[in-house]
Amino acid sequence: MPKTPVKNLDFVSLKSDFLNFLRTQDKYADYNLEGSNMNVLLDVLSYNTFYNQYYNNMALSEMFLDSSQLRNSAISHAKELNYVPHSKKSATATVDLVVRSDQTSNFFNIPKYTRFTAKCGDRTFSFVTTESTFAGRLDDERFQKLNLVITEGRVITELKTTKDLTLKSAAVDTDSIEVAVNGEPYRFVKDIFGVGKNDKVFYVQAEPDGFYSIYFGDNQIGNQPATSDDIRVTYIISNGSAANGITSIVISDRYLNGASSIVTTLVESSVGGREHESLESIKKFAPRAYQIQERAVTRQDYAILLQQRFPKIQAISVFGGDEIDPPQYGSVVISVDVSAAQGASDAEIALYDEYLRDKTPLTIQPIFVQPKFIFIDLLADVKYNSKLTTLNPEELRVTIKNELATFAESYINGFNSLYSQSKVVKLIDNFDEAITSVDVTAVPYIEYNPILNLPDSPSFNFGNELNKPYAFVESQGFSDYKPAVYSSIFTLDGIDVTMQDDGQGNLLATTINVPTKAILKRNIGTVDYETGVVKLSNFETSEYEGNAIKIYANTKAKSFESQQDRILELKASDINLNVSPVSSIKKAAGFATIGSTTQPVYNPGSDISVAGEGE
Amino acid sequence: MASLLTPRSKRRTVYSDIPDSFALSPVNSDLTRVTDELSVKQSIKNLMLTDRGERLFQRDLGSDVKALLFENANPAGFKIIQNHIKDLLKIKEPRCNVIDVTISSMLDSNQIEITLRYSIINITQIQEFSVILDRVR
Repeated sequence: MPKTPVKNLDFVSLKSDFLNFLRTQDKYADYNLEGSNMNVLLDVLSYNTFYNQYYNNMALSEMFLDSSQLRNSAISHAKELNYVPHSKKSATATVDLVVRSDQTSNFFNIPKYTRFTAKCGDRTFSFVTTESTFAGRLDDERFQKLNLVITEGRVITELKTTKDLTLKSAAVDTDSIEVAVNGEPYRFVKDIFGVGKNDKVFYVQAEPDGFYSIYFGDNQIGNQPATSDDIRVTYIISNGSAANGITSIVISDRYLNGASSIVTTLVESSVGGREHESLESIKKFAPRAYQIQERAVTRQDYAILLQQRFPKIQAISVFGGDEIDPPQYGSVVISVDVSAAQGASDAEIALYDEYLRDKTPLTIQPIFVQPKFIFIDLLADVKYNSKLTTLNPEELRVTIKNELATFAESYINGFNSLYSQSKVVKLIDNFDEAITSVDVTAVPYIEYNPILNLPDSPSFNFGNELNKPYAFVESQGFSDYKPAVYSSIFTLDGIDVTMQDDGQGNLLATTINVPTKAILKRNIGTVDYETGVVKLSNFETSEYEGNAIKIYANTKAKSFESQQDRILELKASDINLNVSPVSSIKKAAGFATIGSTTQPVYNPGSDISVAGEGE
Repeated sequence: MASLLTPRSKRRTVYSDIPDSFALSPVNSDLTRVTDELSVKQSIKNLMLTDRGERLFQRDLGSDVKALLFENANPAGFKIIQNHIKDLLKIKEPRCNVIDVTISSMLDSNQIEITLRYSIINITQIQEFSVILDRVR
C-alpha cells in the first residue's frame, strides 16, 4: 500500500485515499464507478474509518481538561484537581423593614427563611432571609430593621440517605447548603485540611449534568453518619442572574409573628446573581486553583483566588507594598473594581479581607485600596468619501462611536492597561472603505472632587512622562503656549480660573477671559514631568464646573498606560467625533502622480474632481 | 485458416467488479469477478435500485424509483421514473449510452417492469436489462 498520510478525517478524503490505493491494482477495475460493488464496499470502509476516527478523536479530546468539549468531562477532570465548579448563585438585595406590632418586647423577631416576593420586569422572584434577626423598637407601635440582606430563591429541604446524597435540583446555590444529621448541624469544608475523624463536616462535589452532591468523611477525615441516620439537606434553589435588578419587593407574610403590618422598602436592588460556571471558566480556573493550592503567595494567586471566589469582581490589580510611595514593606496592595460600580464597597472589601486572612503567609498583610481612574478624552477628525458609502455623517459618527466604545470595553478599560493610539486609528480607518483620513487626539485626565472651601493637598499620578513645554514667558502671553497640565474651570478667590503649568514644574491659576487671560495665583502646585505626578498645595475652591475638576495631561507619547491602582477608562461620553465628507480627494478619486503632472486614473465609483495641471 | 477462426489472444477485459453473490472461484477459492457487459449491467442495477440518501454522504446518488412507486401509476408518473433513470445513468454510469427506457405496468399484480436498452462504450452489441419492481407486502 502506498504511503498514505494519516491526515484526512472526513469521509470524502478517506474514500479518495482508498481509491488512490486501488489504482495500483487492475483485478477489479470498476472501483471508481459509483454503481459498482467495489464502490459500495469502499463507502462502507470509508464510513467505518471515518466513524472510528471521529470516535477516537472525541474520546481523546475528552480525556484531557484542556481539549474537552463536554461540561461533564471538564467537571470530571476538575474533580481530580479538587476543584468544584461554582453553582448558580442567588442574587442578594437590601431592604428596610418597618413592622407595626403591639408586642411589648423591644425586639421583633424576623425568623430565618422569612419570605419576600420581588418583581423584576414581568417576572416574580422569591427572596428569603438566610439567618434570623431582630427589628429594634422605633416607637410605641413600630419596629424597624435597616439594611436587611435577603437572598433570592426558594428554600428546599431534602431527606437523604447515605446511599444517595445527590441533590435533586441542579439550580442549587451551593453556598446555601446546610446539613443536619439527626438534628445536629454539620459544617461545610472545602478541603480535608485540619479535619479530624470526629468532626461534623460535609463536602460538596459536582456531578454530571449540573447537579451537585454532598458527601461525608469516612471516620478518618470527618464523621460518617450511619445508614439509619436522619440526614436533612436544606438549600436554596436559585434563578441565577435572572433575578438581578429587582424593582419592587414586598414581604410574603404581612402578619408575621402577629404583626399588624410590615412595610418593606427596597434599599439596594438585587445584584450578584450568576449562572453555573461555564465550560471555559472551568478549564481556566481548575488548573490554576490546583496550582495555588488555596494559598496566596504570588500576586497572581491573590487575583485568581479573589476572582474565583467573588465572580462579581470585574478587574483586579495586585502589586507589592514596596512599589508604592511611601513603601509599605510586608504588605500586598490589592485594588478591586466590581461590575456595575466604581471600585468596591467597604462591606465587599471586608469580605475579601476575611477570605484572604488564612490564605496569606503570616508576615504578609493584604491592603485594599480603592482604584483610581484615568479617563481619556478622545477627539477624532474623520474624513470620508461620500460616494463610497450610503451612510450620512451622523450615521457614520454614531456607528464609529459605538465601535470605539465596544473596543474600549474589551481592550482599554481596566488595570494595567494600554491606550494605543495606532490601534484606535487603525480601527476607525478599517471601519469603512469610504474613510479616507483619521486624525486622533487623546488626552488622559483625572477627576478631582475637592471638598468645597476646605484646603487640601492632593496628588495625582498620571504614570506617564509628560510633554514638557518651554518655560512660560509672561510678556509673550498665553495664546501660543501649550502647557503639559491644564484643567477645567473652578473658582479661586471668587474668580473663575483654570490651572496650568509654567514649563518649570509649577502650577499657575489663570483667569479664563480671552484675550485678557492672566495669572491670578502662582505656585498652587507642582508638576513632575518625568513621572507625571501632579501635586496641589493648600488647594481651596468654592465652586467648580461639572461634577469634578478635570485635570488633563499632555503626555510625551501618544500612547499611554495605567499602572498599579489606576484604571484606564475610555467612556462613551468622552468619545468626540467630527465626521465630514471631503470635497476633493486625489487618492480616493483615482488620481495618481506620474512624473511631475497629475494624471487621472480610472477608479469606478470614485468622486473624480478636475484638477488642473500643476495643481 | 485456423488462425483466422481462432483469436490469437483473449479479448482484453476492460471492466471488472466483485459479483453480488460474493461467490468464490471453485479453482483457487479466490473471489470471482464479473467483467465487461456483466459488470456494467450489475452497476446499472445497483444504481437503479438505490434510493437517494441511502448511500452515506452521497445523498444525490440513486434513482428514487422505490419512492416513486407510491405515486399514481399513470403515464406522467412513468415519465418521471424514466427521466430519473436516464439522468442518473448519464451522470453516474459513463460507460453506457442509454437508448431507451420502457416502463410497462402490470396493475393487476401490483408490479411495474422497467426495461432498459443501452450500449456500452467499446462493445458494439446493444444490451438490454429488465427489472420488475414488486410490492413487498
